[in-house]
Amino acid sequence: MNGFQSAMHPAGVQASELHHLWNIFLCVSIVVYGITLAAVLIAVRRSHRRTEPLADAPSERRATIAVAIGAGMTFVTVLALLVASVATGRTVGTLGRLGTAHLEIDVTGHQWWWEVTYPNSEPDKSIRTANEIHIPVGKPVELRLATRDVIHSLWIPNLHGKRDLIPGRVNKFWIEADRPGVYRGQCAEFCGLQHANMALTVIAESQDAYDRWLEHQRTAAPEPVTDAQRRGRQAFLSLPCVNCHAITGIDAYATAGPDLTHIASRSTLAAGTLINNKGSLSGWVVNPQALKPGSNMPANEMTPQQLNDLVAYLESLQ
Amino acid sequence: MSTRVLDVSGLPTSAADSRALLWWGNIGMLAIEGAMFAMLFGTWLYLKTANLDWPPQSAQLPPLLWPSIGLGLLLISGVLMYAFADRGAMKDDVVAIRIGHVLCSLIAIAFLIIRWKNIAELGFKWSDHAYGSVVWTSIGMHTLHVLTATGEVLVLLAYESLRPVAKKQLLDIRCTAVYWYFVAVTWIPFYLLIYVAPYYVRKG
Amino acid sequence: MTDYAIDERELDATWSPGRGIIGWLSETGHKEIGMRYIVTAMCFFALAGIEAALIRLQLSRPDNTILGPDAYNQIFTMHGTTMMFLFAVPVMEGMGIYLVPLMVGTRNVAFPRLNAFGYYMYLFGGIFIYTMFALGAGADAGWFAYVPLSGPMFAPGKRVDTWANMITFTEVSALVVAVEISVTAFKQRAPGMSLNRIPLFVWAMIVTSFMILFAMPAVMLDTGFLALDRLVATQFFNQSEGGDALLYQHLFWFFGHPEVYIIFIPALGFISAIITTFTGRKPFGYPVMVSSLVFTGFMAFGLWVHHMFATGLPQLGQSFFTAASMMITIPTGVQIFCWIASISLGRLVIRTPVLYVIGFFAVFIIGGLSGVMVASVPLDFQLHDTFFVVAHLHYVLIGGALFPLFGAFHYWFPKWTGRMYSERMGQWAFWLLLIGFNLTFFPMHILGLNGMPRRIYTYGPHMGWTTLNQVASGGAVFIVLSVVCMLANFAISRRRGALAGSNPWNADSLEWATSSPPPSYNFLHLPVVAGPNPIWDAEPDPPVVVGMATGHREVLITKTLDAEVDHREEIPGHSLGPFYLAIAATIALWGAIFFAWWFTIGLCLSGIVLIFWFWPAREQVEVDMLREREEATP
Repeated sequence: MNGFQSAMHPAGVQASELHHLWNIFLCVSIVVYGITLAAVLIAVRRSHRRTEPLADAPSERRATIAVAIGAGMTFVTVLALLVASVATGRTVGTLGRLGTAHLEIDVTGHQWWWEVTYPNSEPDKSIRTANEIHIPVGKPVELRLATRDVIHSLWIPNLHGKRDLIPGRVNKFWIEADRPGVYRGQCAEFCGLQHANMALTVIAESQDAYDRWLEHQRTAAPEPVTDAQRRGRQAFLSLPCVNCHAITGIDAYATAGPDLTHIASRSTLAAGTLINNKGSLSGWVVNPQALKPGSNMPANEMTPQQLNDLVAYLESLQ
Repeated sequence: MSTRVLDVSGLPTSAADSRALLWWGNIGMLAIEGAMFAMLFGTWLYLKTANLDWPPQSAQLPPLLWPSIGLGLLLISGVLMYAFADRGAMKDDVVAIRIGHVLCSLIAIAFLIIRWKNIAELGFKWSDHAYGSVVWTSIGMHTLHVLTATGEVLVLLAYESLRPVAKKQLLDIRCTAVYWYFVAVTWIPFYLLIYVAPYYVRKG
Repeated sequence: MTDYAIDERELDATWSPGRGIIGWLSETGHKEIGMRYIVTAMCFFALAGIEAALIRLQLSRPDNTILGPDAYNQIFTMHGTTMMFLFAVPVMEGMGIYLVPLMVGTRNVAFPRLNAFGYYMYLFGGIFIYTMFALGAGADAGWFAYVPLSGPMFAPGKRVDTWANMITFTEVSALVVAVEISVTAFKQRAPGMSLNRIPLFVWAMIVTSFMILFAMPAVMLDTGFLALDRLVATQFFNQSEGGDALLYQHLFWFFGHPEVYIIFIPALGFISAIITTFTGRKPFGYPVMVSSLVFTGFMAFGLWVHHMFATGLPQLGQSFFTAASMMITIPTGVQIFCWIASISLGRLVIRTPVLYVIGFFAVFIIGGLSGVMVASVPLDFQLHDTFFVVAHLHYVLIGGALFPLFGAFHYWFPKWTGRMYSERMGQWAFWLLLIGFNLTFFPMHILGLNGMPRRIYTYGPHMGWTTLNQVASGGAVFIVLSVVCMLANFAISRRRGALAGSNPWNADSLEWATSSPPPSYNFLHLPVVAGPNPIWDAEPDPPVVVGMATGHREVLITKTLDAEVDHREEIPGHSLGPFYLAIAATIALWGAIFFAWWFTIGLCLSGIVLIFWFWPAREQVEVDMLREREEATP
């Protein structure tokens, strides 16, 4: 297991708490299972060798005492686990909330990708990206979850458990990475055809790296430098692309699909379906339905020349 | 063959009361229906907590007079059902049963006419908002029950007028009466919910 | 003594089914209907099994393309829907319908025609959803079909309509069975079978029936709302018009959690029956066992929110549901301890049914413990909606219900067929299932912890899930072999097995007090019961009931508490009414997905059928009046 999408490799304070609790439950469960199954097997063995069933009062009484002890132990065990569970629940629920310095990120679910917004009190400083969340290590982050269509569930197991995105509601929860790394998250609530390909990447990095990233994301899309890129931008604006996608700095404002202003800076395409490189970008632009059947992005007819130009332009959007 | 026996040949072959199978079956069915109505009631309450605007401002407050008369008729019919048909069945008095069934079916028909008027006066449709959906569904489900109960009574009435009534049929008459009480009483909470509560719960 | 001799032939003629296809369609005997439930449920089990095999095939490799997302979504939805609604609940109902009247010592269930109606509703519901599936409109929103994914906006077409109305079919069926079984168990017990002598399986069915009465209406209402939202544009779940998507989940799980216990509690009854018989002693702690069942039944209604922890409900409420969900382990634990005590005090004879019971302990306890894990709110945040939950629910349902059910099949096989199954093949099937099951489902725990969400049709090779998925898919082969082995055993033994006699296991309960298979009328003379284990507790020359009519279908009604004789009652015989009524209901529910008025038309047709059904024939009334006059003049 490589552990970049695993509840067993916690990389955040919340996930660590949950992992501790898991270890407690697992140990208790193994012991309980061992004792109970041993009791069954011993009973079977003894009973199998007997010639007549026992029905005398003393053995009935012994059995009654044994059952009572078993029930009592069950009660105590369950109570202990309950206390551990509630205590962890409280800790996890208050983590992050105590700190004053924190970050807020809005995550909006779409069939089948994640819209990620970093709001700012100055509107032109807020940024909009997709399928990738950058967070600084050691800083509590409040995720505010909403959905544009059906119920989704955001699950980044290395950082925290999951939380649903429900129509008409905003669910909030907190994450805090305690070591840098790249973690993968995935939609956990069945949401239709491409539920399997609705992933996102979380990049936990130092405050400096994060600040640099944020500053870069706030800039408009870079101007094309080559002819191909310039033709590509023209293609973007004349082809159907512009009906769904926005690119800051040019006449593209649609919000039905992911914002492409800095698409080349992202590591994956189509919500974790493809590695972001030239080949997969070309394939995706021409025929998304072959790579992610049912996706809301239609196949696009274009000349090979247009495709090359368009990809060259998109690749330049660092 | 045993030498000792429990001879049941002297036992009666019917019982028109809570000892009979059908009586219990009827109660079981009412438990199911009751659970369904209770959850429908709960749906209204749940949706109220999920909405700040409940009933929605666009829905006019319901008129009280005719729905109240309707409820009154329904409850009176329940009393008549008991006084004539049910007690008639207990005493094997076919005349009383017939009187009860005639009275109740007349009242039920009057009630259904009033119900029609109430529905027409609601002022919103099931598709307008969730409030409309739950109100229409409640009224619709209850109306379906009134129709069923009325149909049952009419069939019994036809039967009593055409055929002699055997003791076994008394059980049917009593079970129908119990169903009738259920249909009448079930409307009380829904009447309060649909016609009275809006005056108190709407904010602003 | 000849005074009391019974005309066996007349009795048999009275209770026997009619001939030909009409006779088959109008049959109302509980053994026939019960067996139809079981056989039909096994057919659906096979279909759902094929779907499961396809799921495992698709997941056996990363980036597999055997099934596309559309086919995969339909198949896993059909798998879950079929297993829950068309297999697990109906098969338990079938067992109850077949066994309860025999176990309480009566001749048929309380409402035989209703019983037949319930079966046809179940059958037609299953045919309905599979026909639509074959036509390309298979449900595809998961077996709990959350809105808005299943709502009018995001699921156009007939797929979810089909699913929602199929639920109504099966729930109507379950509800009528619940009424019948509870009334049969309360009013038709053999004289002497007071409440504290009712066999534990019958108690289990009583508790199950009560749970059905209060749980199934919730899902009928819920899927009814869904159908209304889709078909006539109500707004129950549309948040922009004051509806609420979580309302659907609350109503669904208010049914959905008890549903698990509706499947599981009858299985507890099987285990009690098997352990009692094969240990040769009365069940240890009978009153505790009964109260545990009742307690479980009540508590099962207080757990539904633990399916919704990730929706972000208030924390205080969540803690309550965590506590309730964990506490329900106590009554189940107590029952397990009582069984262990029974075994350790008894003299255990190990036969296939006993192996399945031991398999139950080995498998179910894992499911119970993983259940405690998912009941914990914080852990559930990680485990919910992952393969861990898939593993958990299969450990609970296969371990808790299927192992006991297969044990029960072997246990009652001699009673049903009059012949013994092959012990060797029975044990082979058991070991194949035990190994195959654990190979298939244990790795899923680890997959879930390693981040694999449920209901994904594909995953990348870099996810690291490949090996465990391959183990799981390989394990499924063993399960298939096991089921084939078991069914072959039954098919062969049914004709060639050794003759069983009436009581091959030396069992204690009344179904073993009559021939195998039982005659149409169940018992020549209704038995009189002298203890909680009627056959073992019988005196050397046990008394029997005489004086029951033989010329018409008569059952003996006893008092609810102490089962003293009360009166005799004629119950209805065969009739085509149930079949026609089910046809009318099918017109209503199947038609409604195309055109809402079909629903009204179907309802009117049902009304007409019902009038014909209940209108007493003139001759019948004359017979009744004559009988009443005879009674009045001794």
